[in-house]
Amino acid sequence: MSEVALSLSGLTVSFASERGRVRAVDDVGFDLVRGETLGLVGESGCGKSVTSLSLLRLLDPDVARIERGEARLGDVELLSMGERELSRIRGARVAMIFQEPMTSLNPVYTVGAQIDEAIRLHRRVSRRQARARTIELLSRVKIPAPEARADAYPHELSGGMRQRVMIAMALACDPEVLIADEPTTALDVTIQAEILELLGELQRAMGMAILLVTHDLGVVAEVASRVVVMYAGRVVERGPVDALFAQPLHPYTAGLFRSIPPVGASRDGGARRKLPTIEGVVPSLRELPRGCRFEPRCPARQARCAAEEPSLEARGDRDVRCHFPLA
Amino acid sequence: MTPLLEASRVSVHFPVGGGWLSRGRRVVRAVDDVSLSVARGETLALVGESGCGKSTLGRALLRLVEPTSGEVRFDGADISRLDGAALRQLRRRMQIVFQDPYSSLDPRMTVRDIVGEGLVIHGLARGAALDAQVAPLLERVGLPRDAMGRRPHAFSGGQRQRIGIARALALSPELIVCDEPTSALDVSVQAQVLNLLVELQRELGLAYLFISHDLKVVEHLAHRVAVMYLGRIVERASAEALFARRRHPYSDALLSAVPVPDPRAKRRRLTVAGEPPSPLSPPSGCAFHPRCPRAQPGRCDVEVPALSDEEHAVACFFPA
Ligand SMILES: Nc1ncnc2c1ncn2[C@@H]1O[C@H](COP(=O)(O)OP(=O)(O)OP(=O)(O)O)[C@@H](O)[C@H]1O
Ligand code: SF4
Ligand SMILES: [Mg+2]
Repeated sequence: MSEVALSLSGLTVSFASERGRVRAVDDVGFDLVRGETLGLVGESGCGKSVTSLSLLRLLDPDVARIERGEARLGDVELLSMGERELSRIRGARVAMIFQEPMTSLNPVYTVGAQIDEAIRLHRRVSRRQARARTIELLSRVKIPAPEARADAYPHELSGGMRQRVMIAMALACDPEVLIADEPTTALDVTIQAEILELLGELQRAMGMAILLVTHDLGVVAEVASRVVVMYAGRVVERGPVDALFAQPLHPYTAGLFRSIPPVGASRDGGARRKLPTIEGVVPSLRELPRGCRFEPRCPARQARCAAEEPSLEARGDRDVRCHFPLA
Repeated sequence: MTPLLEASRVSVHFPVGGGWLSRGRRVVRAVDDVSLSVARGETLALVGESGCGKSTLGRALLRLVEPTSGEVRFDGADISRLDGAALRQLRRRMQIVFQDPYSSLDPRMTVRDIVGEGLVIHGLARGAALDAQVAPLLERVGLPRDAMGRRPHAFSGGQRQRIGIARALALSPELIVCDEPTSALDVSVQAQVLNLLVELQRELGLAYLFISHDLKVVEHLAHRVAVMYLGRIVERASAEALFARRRHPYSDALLSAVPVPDPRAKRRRLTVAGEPPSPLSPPSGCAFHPRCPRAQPGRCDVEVPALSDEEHAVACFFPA
């Protein structure tokens, strides 16, 4: 039985701008299942990070407002609970890692001290017990010579090692949910491969659900079992990875797949084929099309698409937001 | 035929750290004894991971950094001997497009001034004549006509990269060094820019030195590929040959690490142990030996393998 660890529905987030509020995320939802990785994909600015930051209410309250939505973690609801209560969940039951670990690590403390503190924030343990746990966590994320590395400062570590430290810190309290926002985007591919493998191993051992935010469909194909595709603040398609990659239903998803240079197939007798592209650019949140948000760029559009925005409809084990899905 | 660009045994060493009190100057060998050539109308891709020296090499070939040793010839002329007018003349013929479309364009300048800057500097056009030259360039790279008077912030990442390409094209160069020109872009926009580069090459006979860490992009675009590791070329071959068969264990690891957007793809992942060493303290012998699954003690950790003299060249004692 798949057990839902976290269920998000109806998330709508707006930002203050010079010309009124704009909606960066509009009615976004998905279920995170225990022991599974859900990929959240889409192009820059489509709302992936706003969605993931909203789950822990980490957006700047001066500009961002969660208008609507529910995020159920077992018996609690994260979006409406008090800040005090939420701080007991943040880092303990739901943990998060980011693209650039350097910005989330404090440069003036050793990495060991920072992990110790993360542990002691949520658990009543002595300094010595915390340090023992820190060393255990560092070896768990396969940092060589963990005792010595615990005394290193963040800048003394490589990007890959820093990301391992962040993972160790995130796992300090055995979270039920790990949110990973582009955790390998800043890393070289060989290091990325190792980090993804590590996350998979830890997930198998600890059974947490992972929300993996990424713009890389290759990464999703490798590690996720289900995927949510976003476009201009909306979920446009959602479903199991195998089926979605085999036959995307939304024209945007299909266009994204086609524009990746294919491996091993781009030449016809030495000549470079033209890559299929999605014409145009993502619309500004201030001037969203009235109908389907993808309509101005969509090769499959028809008259109805400009007039009426499609809703997210179930099709078998998938959901798609399109008047004329591809299959 | 002489190649358009030919580098022989180029090294770029940067002095580092220590300060004036310390004895014995330390150097980083950012580029170490690299030879390569680019023919007219050809794309040579330079691939490797961050810090392997590919950008430094690209800049050294344009003399934006001075090589410590070695020789670079452009159309037969040794560029290290050129100065003044001759160097400026040469700069017209080789241009560069940078990775970051956000920081590589001056936010205070209009698109007209950015794209036309080279023409003005070289005294080739001014005023209305400048507009007449800039307009078709903008059109050629797919920017709207009214782009002319706007500033970079009014454009998306892909459009800014087109501005950068128009700027590079303005002086009708023969070679463009493209330093990760699409790595800051989303895939759908990246595809548009890659198509543009391919079209321009066909039309204008441009040669590209295409610097990238993205093997999918490289396979799509390159005629020939050179793989770098810690300042050296470890493998060099036609794109067909290299993607059909990697001879160097590092190239193999690099390619197998690329995530394939196909959940059914059978992964044959060859993970290499650990991380790239610091160029400040390169390993003895073959720089890849501490991570290499094929390394033989007594050989790989002692001797530096030279790049072989073959069509499909490799710098490894035990190549595939
Ligand atoms: N602090 C903020 N103030 C105003 N607008 C914001 C803020 N943070 C995000 N936005 C806007 O919200 C939208 C969604 O941004 P978000 O960061 O979620 O995108 P993303 O999908 O994570 O993109 P990327 O792939 O570039 O990380 C964008 O239009 C962005 O400009
Ligand atoms: S609703 Fe219409 S415009 Fe939107 S994706 Fe579907 S076919 Fe294209
Ligand atoms: Mg983001």
